[in-house]
Amino acid sequence: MLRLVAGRIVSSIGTLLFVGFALFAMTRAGPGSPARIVLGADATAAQLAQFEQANGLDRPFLAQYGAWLSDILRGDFGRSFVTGRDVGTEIVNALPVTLSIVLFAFAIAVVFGVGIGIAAALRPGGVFDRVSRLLSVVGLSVPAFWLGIVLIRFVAVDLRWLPPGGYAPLSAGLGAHLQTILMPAVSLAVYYIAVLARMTQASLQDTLRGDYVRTARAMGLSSPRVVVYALINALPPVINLAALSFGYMFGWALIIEQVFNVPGLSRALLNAISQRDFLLLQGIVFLFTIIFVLANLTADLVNRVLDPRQRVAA
Amino acid sequence: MRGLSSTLRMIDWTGWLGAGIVLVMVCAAIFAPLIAPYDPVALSIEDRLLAPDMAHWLGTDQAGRDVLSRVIFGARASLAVGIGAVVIGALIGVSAGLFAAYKGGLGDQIVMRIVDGVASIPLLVWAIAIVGILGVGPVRVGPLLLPNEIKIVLLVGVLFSPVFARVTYAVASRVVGADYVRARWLQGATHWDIVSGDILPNCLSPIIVQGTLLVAIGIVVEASVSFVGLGVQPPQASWGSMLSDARSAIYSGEWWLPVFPGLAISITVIGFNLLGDAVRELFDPRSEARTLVA
Amino acid sequence: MVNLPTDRRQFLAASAGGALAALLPSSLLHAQPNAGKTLTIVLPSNPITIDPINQLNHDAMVLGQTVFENLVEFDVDGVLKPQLAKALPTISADKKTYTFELRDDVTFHNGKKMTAEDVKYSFDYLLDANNKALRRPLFTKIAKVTVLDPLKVQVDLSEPYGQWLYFLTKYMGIFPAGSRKEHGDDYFKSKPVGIGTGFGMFEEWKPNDSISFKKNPNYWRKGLPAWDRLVVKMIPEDATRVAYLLTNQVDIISAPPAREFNRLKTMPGITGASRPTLGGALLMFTNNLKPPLDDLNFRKALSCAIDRKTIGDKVYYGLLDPAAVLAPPRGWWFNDEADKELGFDLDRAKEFLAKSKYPTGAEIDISIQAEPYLLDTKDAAIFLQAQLAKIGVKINLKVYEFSVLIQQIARGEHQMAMQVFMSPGEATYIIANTVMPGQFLSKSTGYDNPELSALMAASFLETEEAKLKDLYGKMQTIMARDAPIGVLGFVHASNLWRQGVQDFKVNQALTMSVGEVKV
Repeated sequence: MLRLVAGRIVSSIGTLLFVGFALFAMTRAGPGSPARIVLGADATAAQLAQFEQANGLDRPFLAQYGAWLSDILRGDFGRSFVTGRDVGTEIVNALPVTLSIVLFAFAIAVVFGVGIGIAAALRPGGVFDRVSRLLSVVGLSVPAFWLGIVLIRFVAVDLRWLPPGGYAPLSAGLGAHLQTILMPAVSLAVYYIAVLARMTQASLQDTLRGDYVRTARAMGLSSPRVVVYALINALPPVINLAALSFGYMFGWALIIEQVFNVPGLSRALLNAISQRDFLLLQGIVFLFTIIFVLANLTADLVNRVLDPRQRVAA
Repeated sequence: MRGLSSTLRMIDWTGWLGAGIVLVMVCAAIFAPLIAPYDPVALSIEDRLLAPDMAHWLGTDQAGRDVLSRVIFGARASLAVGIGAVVIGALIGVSAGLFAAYKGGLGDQIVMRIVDGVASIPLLVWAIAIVGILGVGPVRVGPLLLPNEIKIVLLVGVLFSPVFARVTYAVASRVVGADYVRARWLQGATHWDIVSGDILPNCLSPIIVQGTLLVAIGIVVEASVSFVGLGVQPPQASWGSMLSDARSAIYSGEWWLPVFPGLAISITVIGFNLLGDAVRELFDPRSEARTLVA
Repeated sequence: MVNLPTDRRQFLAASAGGALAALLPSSLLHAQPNAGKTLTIVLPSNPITIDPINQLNHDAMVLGQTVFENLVEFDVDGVLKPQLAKALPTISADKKTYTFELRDDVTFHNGKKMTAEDVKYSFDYLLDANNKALRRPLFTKIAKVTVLDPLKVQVDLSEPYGQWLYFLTKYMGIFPAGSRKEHGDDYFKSKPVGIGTGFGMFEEWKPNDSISFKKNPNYWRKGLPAWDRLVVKMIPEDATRVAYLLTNQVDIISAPPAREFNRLKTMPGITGASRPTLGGALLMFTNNLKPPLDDLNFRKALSCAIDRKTIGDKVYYGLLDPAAVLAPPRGWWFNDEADKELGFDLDRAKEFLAKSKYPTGAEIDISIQAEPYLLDTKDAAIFLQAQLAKIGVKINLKVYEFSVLIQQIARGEHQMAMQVFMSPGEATYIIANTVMPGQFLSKSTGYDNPELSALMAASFLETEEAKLKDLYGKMQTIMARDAPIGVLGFVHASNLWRQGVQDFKVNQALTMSVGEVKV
């Protein structure tokens, strides 16, 4: 077991190292330079060279990578070539925005997804079963950004219930905060409600069909208690999927933030891309990758620790 | 072995619906020039922003291009990215899975740890970052000028590959260790005989199931990347870029501009999902646990 | 009697809205953050700096122009007016010495009085090559700035160059003596507190979100500004920008999508206007050194095959004034005759093509910008593709991001490229930079003509409009003859604002002008 965990951690670190390198190589090899963005179309060749020198962009590639990596290990993401702001601070400022949307969406997805899944599994052919089926068709097939646009049009512009976008931090009051993150979170959550409901339903139905449940019922165990036991046994794959979903949500949050004009990591990333702000871009993508790697690792470990079958196998 | 007719009878109507949708979309993509009533890039400034009518069933866009024709041609970009990525992912993944299971030992460890590593790269973030860094312009590789779509297909394909690698690995390592394979071995079967005769047929059903579902994800990824302006470039049409171009139309009332490409995406994704579910029911009814998420 | 909504949908909407409203503070719900005297305006892009001497983005110049001012102002109508100077400068007979009398009622945001020493310091700082001001190259003809008395400065040029005054508003500002050394460049870039004379005092920069300014209570133009706070939001997404305006979250937006502009400006509660800029040109950089664009007749054939009126009216909904030469049709220096030489005429296009080295047509790659700036050039490019096909010229569209495209153009690696080029709106800037040798975009065309350079030099000697008109006219004639660069037209600056906003005027120079706006 321990070896397995250690193995997964080693491969995660390997991923991060590789990913960091690939990212670095591509930013340096790709077309376009931050010098043009900062100095503009009117810059002379001398101005451009001077800028690259001042920012260390003319140093050998491996030297740049080494310096970046060792800085990162010390928690220093560097200073943006373009804005001159500290990349770490920039990320720390934008992260809570993205995080609050993703966490809220995750909560919605888990509550509704698992809830609908359980209800559907308990009454096959019932209302929730049908809802779950409809959801798994609709939820999986409506891209989140498209849903977001529709919500803005009807909920914000026509009905004026919620602001069309933007972000109010928690410090502006819980109500204001929820108002700004409700639509983005819902747009983001719908797909995952569908995925989780489907998984919960399948897994629970599977367990309820299992021999030991039949035995338990035969031995006279009350129905709610049987369901609770079945649920505990049905959960591991659901938790595994939920952990994976959490990692994936950050990716879609990029698009959703763009639609709702939320000043989170997506704004920062897309800006960094168009301004060729390499350090900021590397920092953000690296952070996303770390989050995703951790989510994956959690999913994997949960699976191996909680799922009896996997435990035996290990 | 079940007979073909009894197998087909096991598919319920949703499966047939899915298969029908996929068939229609694939045909639309392949025969687009024959089906589309107009040239998808032909401008007709005088006819712009026409609501759907008899001449233009789905209306025209801001440059007077026929929306129906663009949606039909858009199927090419969307399906090419979705299916192309799955094919590439399957090629890489199946080879990696076979290699690892077959080789065993250190080779197995290395390959499968790499697979784990690739599986923990977030798809959409990387698609956006890489296209963003390399630029949406065509990339010259030797004598070839690769359009932007190729970058997306390759990247998404590579990131899809772990799914296939793991499926293949699971089946292959079971088969490789089985007694009957050892027996075939002793009878003088070659490696290729074992791979093609014993391992691949057993992997095929889960690969098809996962592949079908992944196509749906690939289509949504293409649409999302196009939505932030990093996908298919004009004048070519893709559903994602059409939707992106039509974003502001949602305020000004030209509902047909966003609705039809949006519907095309949704219907196609539904099609692949229903088909995938049906295929799964057919081959592998107890494999729910491998639900895909992206 | 209570008036209950009867329509079912309305009722549902109202009750659900009520339920929500009960839970949430009303401040945000009906989206009225503009209560009081806050003016909220929106930029379509994310600014990099506030510092005018390093500013590249014409939309973002509203930030610098809120904090800083200059001796003279090139105003919203394209008229040169005194600002911190009492009057326009007196110019010596040799056109090399400019004398400015300063206002005596101007103080910086830190309370210090503005004097001639500050003016001298600001210019000296800008002109010192060690300070690497991006805009220094525009002002290098200034030889010396001398303080005559505390309210009088003299600027000596090394050679006559009347155009420099027009660049002061966009590319320079007056700051207190010693302030650069005291605060450093980053201070001017991102938190310029206390160092300007403008109507707004810097308050806060929330990255990727907004930048805010307080009213300057001691502003020398008494009674201005009429607002207490100015918030400049950044919203890159077109549709979201519109949604913010429609839901009253913001007061004024710039760069509304051309396609929706005409409809939106007639919507209830919304006002909108546009006016042609004098300096924003939609250009087709034709690389004169690469075939087939190395052929004069071929270039002229291209120019004559383009129906600019349709592009202006139909593709861009009237937000592009068609022009075939490098001068704005509404500018006083526009040469109608030269424009006709290159204007739309399909028969002439075919004649030119027949005379060229490529009588049966050719294939050209055109590089266009991925991110729309003012206009989405992709729209014009696909139209162009259709039009040029009529004379047998096949156009392949190649899309690149701005940073990649501009590098291509600056190095002359492109065959043809299309881009909106924004300039301060005086006659020489675009010409000097694109079709004359030794400039940063010279390779965009690769054109070099001593005759044109001589006319340009002559125009620097003049300050009178009538004589300048003649010189600028001749320059256009030469460019019409040689067609070194393709011109499609001059873009409009356009804005949409809420009806509550008063005295807002669209700026011909694009940058929003908000000092006189009432909320």
